Amino acid sequence: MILSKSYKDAMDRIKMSPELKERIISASEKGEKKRKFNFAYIGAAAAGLAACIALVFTLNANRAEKTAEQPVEVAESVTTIAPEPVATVEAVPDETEAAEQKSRVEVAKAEPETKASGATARSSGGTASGAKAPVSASGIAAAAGSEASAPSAAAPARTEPEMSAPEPAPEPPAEDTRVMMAKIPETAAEDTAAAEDNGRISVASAAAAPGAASAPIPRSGGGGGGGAPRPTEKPTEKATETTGEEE
Amino acid sequence: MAADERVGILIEKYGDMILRLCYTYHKNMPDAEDSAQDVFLKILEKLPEFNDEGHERAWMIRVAINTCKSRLRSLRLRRASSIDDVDIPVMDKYGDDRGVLEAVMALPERFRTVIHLYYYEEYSTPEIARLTGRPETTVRSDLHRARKRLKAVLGGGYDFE
Repeated sequence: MILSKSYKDAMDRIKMSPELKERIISASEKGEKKRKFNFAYIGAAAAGLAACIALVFTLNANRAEKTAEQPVEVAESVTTIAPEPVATVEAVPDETEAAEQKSRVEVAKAEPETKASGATARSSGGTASGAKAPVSASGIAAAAGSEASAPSAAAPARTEPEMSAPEPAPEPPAEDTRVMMAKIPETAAEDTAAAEDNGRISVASAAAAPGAASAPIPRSGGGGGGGAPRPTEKPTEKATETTGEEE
Repeated sequence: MAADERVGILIEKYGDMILRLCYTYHKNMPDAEDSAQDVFLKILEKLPEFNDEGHERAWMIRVAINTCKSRLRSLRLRRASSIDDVDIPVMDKYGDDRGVLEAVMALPERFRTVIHLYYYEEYSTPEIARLTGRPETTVRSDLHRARKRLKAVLGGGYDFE
């Protein structure tokens, strides 16, 4: 006899009864219902967990905002040690507007310089010094525009409130400078009579722009005296110096 | 396909096989039926996707073995008298197959499983090792010892190939 065959024959008599099959199927249906209930429970638990996670994230975000605000406060306290705070830069909403304003300011500054350079041109006899004025004015305006984005540029912002007074002039001061620049070579080339004409033109332009009368248009001569600020290579320092002198 | 339909198909396909395997563990039909029911409920909980029929069959056997072992453990914890402790008389004198079955059921649990999987399910020793989670050498030695014991009980009239 073969053991495997006899063992198989004995085992083949063991069969699953139909009652047992039905019992298993009914139990599996009940188990399915329990599983569905479990899924609902798990879904509710997952929703609660998600709400908790969202709450934690919002709390962390608030904490991060608070920590991000702290260095700004320190920076402000540091900038108070500086001559001027960054507040003037923050007051300007747009960089382009700030650049325009500063260009106006610098052009208004450049006016006396052109006169001064005109005076020096008279002494030196070169038109090049007169031609330098618009270049330096535009360069300063560009520098002021670039400085407007930098919060640490306090010195140019310092000149802004001083020179913002001539802003309500109906005519832009750039035209005046153009007139001035057009006349400066003539003054350099011609004699003091031409300078008088130039003075007349500038007076006429100043009369046309009464708001811009605060700009030192009439020439005082003798190296640009009369308290007019001179834009130089370092305008901020000079501006502070002149303001210091004025004060 | 709904879950109960799939369970019905699996019962038709593997019901008898699982009940027999459970019987080799419990050595009585009520416990074997309960274990078989637990096996199918576990299958319903998981309902995994199988690569092929062999994979499905092996998974069912593995689940049945684990279910029967855990059930036996719980029965022992409840201090219920196990049928292993009872000497089952070998009825080979009648010359029918029931004597062989009773002789196999008289073996310890680890030998019974190996004999059933080897002679009835016709698995090889490496496959039995994978199914039971035991080393192949252990399975071979268990099979050898089980044959030795059966020879001693049943006599020399059986071929153990």
